[in-house]
Amino acid sequence: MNRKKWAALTLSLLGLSIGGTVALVAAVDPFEVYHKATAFIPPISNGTQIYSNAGIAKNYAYDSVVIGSSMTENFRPSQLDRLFGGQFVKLCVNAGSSFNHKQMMDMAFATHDVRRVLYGVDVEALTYFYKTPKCEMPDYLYDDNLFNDVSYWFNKSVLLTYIPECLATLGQSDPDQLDTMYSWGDLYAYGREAVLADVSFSRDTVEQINAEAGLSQQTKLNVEHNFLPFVEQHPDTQFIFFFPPYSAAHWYQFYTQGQMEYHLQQKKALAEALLPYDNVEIYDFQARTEWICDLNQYIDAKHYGPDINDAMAEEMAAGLSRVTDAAQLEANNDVIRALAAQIVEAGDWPF
Amino acid sequence: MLFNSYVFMLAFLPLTLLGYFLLGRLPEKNQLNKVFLVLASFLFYGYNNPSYVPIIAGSILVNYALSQLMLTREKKAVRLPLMLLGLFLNLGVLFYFKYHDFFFENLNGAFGLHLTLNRLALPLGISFFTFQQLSYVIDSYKRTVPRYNILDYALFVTFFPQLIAGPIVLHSEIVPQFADAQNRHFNFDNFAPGLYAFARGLMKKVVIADTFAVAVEAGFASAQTLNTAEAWFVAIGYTLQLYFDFSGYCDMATGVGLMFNIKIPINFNSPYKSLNIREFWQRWHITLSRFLTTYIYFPLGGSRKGMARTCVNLMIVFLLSGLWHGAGWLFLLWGLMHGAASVLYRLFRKPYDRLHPALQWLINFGFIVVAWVFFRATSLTDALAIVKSMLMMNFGPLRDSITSAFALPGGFHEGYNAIYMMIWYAASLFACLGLRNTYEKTMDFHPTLCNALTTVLMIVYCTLSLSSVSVFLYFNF
Repeated sequence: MNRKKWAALTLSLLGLSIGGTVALVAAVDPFEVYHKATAFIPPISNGTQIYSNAGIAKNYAYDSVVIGSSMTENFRPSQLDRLFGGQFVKLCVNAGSSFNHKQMMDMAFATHDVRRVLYGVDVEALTYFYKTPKCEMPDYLYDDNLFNDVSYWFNKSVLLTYIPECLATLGQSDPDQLDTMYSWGDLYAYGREAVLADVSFSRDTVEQINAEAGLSQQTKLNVEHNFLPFVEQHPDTQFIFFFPPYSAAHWYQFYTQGQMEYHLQQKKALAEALLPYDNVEIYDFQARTEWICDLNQYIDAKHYGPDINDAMAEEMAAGLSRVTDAAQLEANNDVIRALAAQIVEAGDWPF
Repeated sequence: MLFNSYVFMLAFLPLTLLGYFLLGRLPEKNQLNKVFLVLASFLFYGYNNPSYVPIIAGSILVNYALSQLMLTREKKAVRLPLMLLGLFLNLGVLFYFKYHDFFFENLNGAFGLHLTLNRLALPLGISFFTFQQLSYVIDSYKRTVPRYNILDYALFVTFFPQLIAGPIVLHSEIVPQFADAQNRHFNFDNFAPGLYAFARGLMKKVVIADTFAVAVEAGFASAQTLNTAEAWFVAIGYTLQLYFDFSGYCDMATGVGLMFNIKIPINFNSPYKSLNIREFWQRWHITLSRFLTTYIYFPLGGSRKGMARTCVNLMIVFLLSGLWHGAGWLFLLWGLMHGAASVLYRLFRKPYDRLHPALQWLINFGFIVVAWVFFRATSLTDALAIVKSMLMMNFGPLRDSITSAFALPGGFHEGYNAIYMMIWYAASLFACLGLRNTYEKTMDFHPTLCNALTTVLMIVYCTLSLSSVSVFLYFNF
């Protein structure tokens, strides 16, 4: 063949490949960013959460969202629907920063009439940089710019891993997926051995830094950019914030890093900033000694199992463990301080 | 802008080709096509950082003005200060952006001073476009070059395929090609081999170099704890990475140049096939060697002033080469090593050339690999640790962070990653040593169904490799 024919052939094949790839990805759309999957089970998993959430936020039917990190991944939308009367989806971002959670809420509010936000507040995310996501985000899935979707269309993993996964479940459906997605409760071992494996105890007292911090710079920025705007701009939406019950061992870990007082202060500062709003409810489960001193509920110092998520859901729907002023929250903080002191005095896990 | 990006391959390149050749259909005297290409090249340059554009624009204007002044003045007494000014300004700007902090840091360290560093980001391609223009400025002083108009001069400097990472083209190579009326028109006879070369360069960079890069990065990050096997794989890995990356880039530049009917000079001619260090520098970064030879080595006297002076000249050239590559002691050390090797070869050439070629290759390649360790390392202690490990005969298992770079997609049979790694190394070395290089194949291009299909597959695969899904699993909070 001559060079002209060669070039014509090559360019045609390239054109076909480009067109064909775009068509394939748009049609199959493993992360459901163009349309909800109906012909197969979408490959939703914790590892690709930040990709799947874009599709769930855009194209699923819901009026209520679960926001938060791994502290919220074990919630069951079916139970939440029953308790709160809405239609929930999980937009969790494990290890997410406040900025990540803002990104999820932005997507939800931009595309749906959101009536309820159930938001698990991590003390560490509260004080993390307000503009920083936990990792490089696939922003191209979250915006309206079709051009940057090239990163989705011409994507090795999408074509070679995720589309095949979709095609492998062609014709199948998983009615429980909304509940089971992101849940990890069954995957790990619970109990003292698992939890205390990474905790080292001693009788040393540790000076707590920033004990009188009040609202720290980053907390202030987080409140200003990642919390308040939603509360203020959506007065008809119910915001249910809760502080998740880390085990007492985790608070002891904060203590040994000198961070315990700091986190307790910031937690209180957030509550003070949000309590004045009528559309806000704040729940504090962090001083629930029947949970946080029972290591059989935990897989590590921080992560409790789905039974506690279920229990918290029931309580929040009934208005139990609600905090309506800062003094109540401070009383809970005192319980935590006392537990930490007990551990320090014992030099070991005393419960 | 990068060649290996969506915006370049799907938008910039097709649109620029379209614009250039459409405008080329206007009457021959019409230069709009060149204006378009210069503007497109500025867009290419400034795409990722627009603040660099004034620097290159200013550089072009000043150098052009100085050159034209010198070309229109008979008296050397007028030209000489202009040339010196040109040298001062060009090297001054280069010094300011590239070497200022290195120089001042060392002054601070040596004399306990507290001079402030400017911590400026290096404008893209500044080493390349500075040297490229210096050659014209110096030749203008000597009045051995024609006068060009500003458009031709600007196009020579900014023509985007060679703008960011070379090759360092000579004006005499580029300007006449743009002046040739035939080249105004799209030509399949050039486009086909151009696309062919581009695909192969893309593959070399995106698939081969970037794969070795992962293992090399892991290796150099653990420089202090590598065992002998790991040290060798990391050193050779970098040797391969650097070659495939840089030569791949030049292949893409050549390919894109050809699409515009412009032949860009060869920059890599299978350098690892070299049997001695002199041959290596005739095959590696050829246009840089050409520049240094023409403007440093020959003016110093080259090899025409006796052995001792030749050796001194060689050392100077290689030290400057090291410095050109980067503002750091390790780059200088690398330059020094190559200078020393060149001097040794010069002194012991006769007995060396009598050795069996296999032995010559082994000595030469071994030296090059070791020297690259100093080029790549982030500290002298790391470099020495790696080289020491290479010699210590402390063999051991290859760590995961190195072998996992060569895992099969989908993580099939991960236990065999080390074996896949061997295959990667063997195949890459075979390609470097046993196959014709891309430039040779492009110049000898024969259109076949087979290479059409491989070209398509390469471009498609590399385009897909530009984006992937990263699996994140953290439990921190």
